[in-house]
Amino acid sequence: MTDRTPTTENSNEPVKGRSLWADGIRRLRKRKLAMVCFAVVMMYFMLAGLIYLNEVLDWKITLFDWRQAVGPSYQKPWVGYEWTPEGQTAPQRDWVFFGTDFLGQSTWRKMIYASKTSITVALFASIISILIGVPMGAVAGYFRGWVDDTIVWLYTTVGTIPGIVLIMAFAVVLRAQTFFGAELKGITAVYVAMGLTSWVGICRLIRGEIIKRKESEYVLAARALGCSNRRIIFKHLLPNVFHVIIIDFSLRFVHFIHAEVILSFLGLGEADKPSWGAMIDAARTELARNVWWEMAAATVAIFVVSLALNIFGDALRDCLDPKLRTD
Amino acid sequence: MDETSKKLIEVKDLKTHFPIRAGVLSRTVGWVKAVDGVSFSIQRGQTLGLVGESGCGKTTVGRTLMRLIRATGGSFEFDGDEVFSLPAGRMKRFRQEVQMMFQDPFGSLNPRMTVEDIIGEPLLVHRVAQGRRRQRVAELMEKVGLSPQHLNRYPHEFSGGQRQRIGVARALALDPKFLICDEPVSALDVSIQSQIINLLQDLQSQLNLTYLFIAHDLAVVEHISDWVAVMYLGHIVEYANRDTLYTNPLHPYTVSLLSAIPEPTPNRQKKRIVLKGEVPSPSNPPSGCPFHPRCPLAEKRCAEENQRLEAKDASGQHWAACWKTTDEKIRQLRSQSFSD
Repeated sequence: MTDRTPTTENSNEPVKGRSLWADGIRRLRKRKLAMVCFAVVMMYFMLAGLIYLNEVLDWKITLFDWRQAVGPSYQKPWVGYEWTPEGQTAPQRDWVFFGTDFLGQSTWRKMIYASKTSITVALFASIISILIGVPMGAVAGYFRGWVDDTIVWLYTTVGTIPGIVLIMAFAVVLRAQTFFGAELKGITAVYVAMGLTSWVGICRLIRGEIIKRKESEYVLAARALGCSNRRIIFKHLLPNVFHVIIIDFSLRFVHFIHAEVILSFLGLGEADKPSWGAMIDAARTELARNVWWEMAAATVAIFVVSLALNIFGDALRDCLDPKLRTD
Repeated sequence: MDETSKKLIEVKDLKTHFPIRAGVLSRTVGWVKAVDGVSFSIQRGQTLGLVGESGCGKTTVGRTLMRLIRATGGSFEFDGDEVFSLPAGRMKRFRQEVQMMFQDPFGSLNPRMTVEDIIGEPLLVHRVAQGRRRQRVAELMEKVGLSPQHLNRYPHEFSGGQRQRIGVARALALDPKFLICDEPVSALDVSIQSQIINLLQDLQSQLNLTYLFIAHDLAVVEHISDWVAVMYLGHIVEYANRDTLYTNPLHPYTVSLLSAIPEPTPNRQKKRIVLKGEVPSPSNPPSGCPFHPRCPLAEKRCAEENQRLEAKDASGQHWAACWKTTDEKIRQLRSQSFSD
């Protein structure tokens, strides 16, 4: 008779609802490949975190001590060798996983340490670009008119300049600056430059999503109730485009990792600490001497994190976007 | 119409035109006259049904009255106040007293909010029932026939009819006087439609609500309305109290609309008036009477001048915008389609 849901128990305990978020995460957890990729990505993040803590708290974990020479220059991976470490007299036998570089440092340790560089750059660049892009996109899409025109003009202008050139220009300029007392050097300049130049994509995306949802009936309903513009944007529109931000974040992250590699390769990145780009840069001269392992280590590290992030990002999109729901 | 003191709503010559922009400089090259001179009034505690086919401007009327769309012209008096020129402070009170129900039970509730937040939002925004909001939301849910157990659920966990009940509860949260129902049942199954309509009628008698009921379903409108206005291309073509309109339609458009209601008795023969062509574009409306290109009775005069809505009987209960309401032909048309 009535369309009331039949309740099994008569208690007046409120029934717990399941939000779209909970729904999406439940779907995501059913996908094995996506969860494996998520674990891989988390491993990179945890490594980055551990390396950071190791530096701050001075734990002296050997694996993260990339500066220490572990053998003579250019030792092959997995092949034993004899050498005399600094400050010792007797030669000793050793072998090293993934070989050594010109300075006799472990390529393996450098590769691991470089994940901190990459993750830091990508994380902060993403956060900066989201902090700039999302509010601008939301304001442009919601208010339209001259605000929209100005913001669209701004991002089309920024968008026409080839990304990497713009990042390089920013990175070079920012390197010499001090910002709120802190000197922008090394990777800080890199991620600030990336963040300042890469908000265009997310801004355009959010603007479109807001325009699409602005005329929906729940927004009209909110306006009819007398909600303020601020409340409509923060309570009604942004929560409904938040999944877009998350998905974009996961896919953009890969882009930032690559950008950092390119900048380091060009010598604009981290100068005195390992990074995958710098390793590939070093490999340019090494490859002629048949030293392939430094190149291989950096490539494998980039490949694994890119692949995992891409697969996970796709799965996120499939699961979090209510429009793509299959079950 | 009765004495003015009983009128809650008085709309006069309402116009809503949308500009058509084109070219690089977005110059206005024309206007879509979605609502073009609509007048009506509603008495306290009564229901006006507003019918018409898709695109005739009924939804725009509702949204303009809610001030969701800026009116191009005309006036809207609510409880003695001119709404279109209300200052921001008074507007807040208007927003409390006038509420709206929407057509789409799936689209009108924010999918990321719980039922408690949705129904409680008007209370929060207008700072009503502070400190006992949850209790008030539970009361409202019971009033519309939902179990307060489902406070923490999300809209996608409900059926269409239940969601529409959530919409009703949200609209009632602030004890409004006037409710604009924009096709509240057209997206629902017939059995659920009747439940929602009965709910709306019960609430009307309990709370002395006044409704503007926008719909395209003539049977639904007949059931709920005290007065009915028929819209065509931004104009009201006929306006009468319900019984008069359904038994004695005067405008050929109303006659043809009524002849299209399916008959529940299969043996009864009735001739349907099938209108030719499409509704003309409101950006380029026909000259004279907007209905004349499709009207079975149209003559030369209809293409030249538009008859304004005028009283067709002595008591002022029946208004129509047509020359030919006393014509023999409209009587024939009516008897064709209403023959028993």
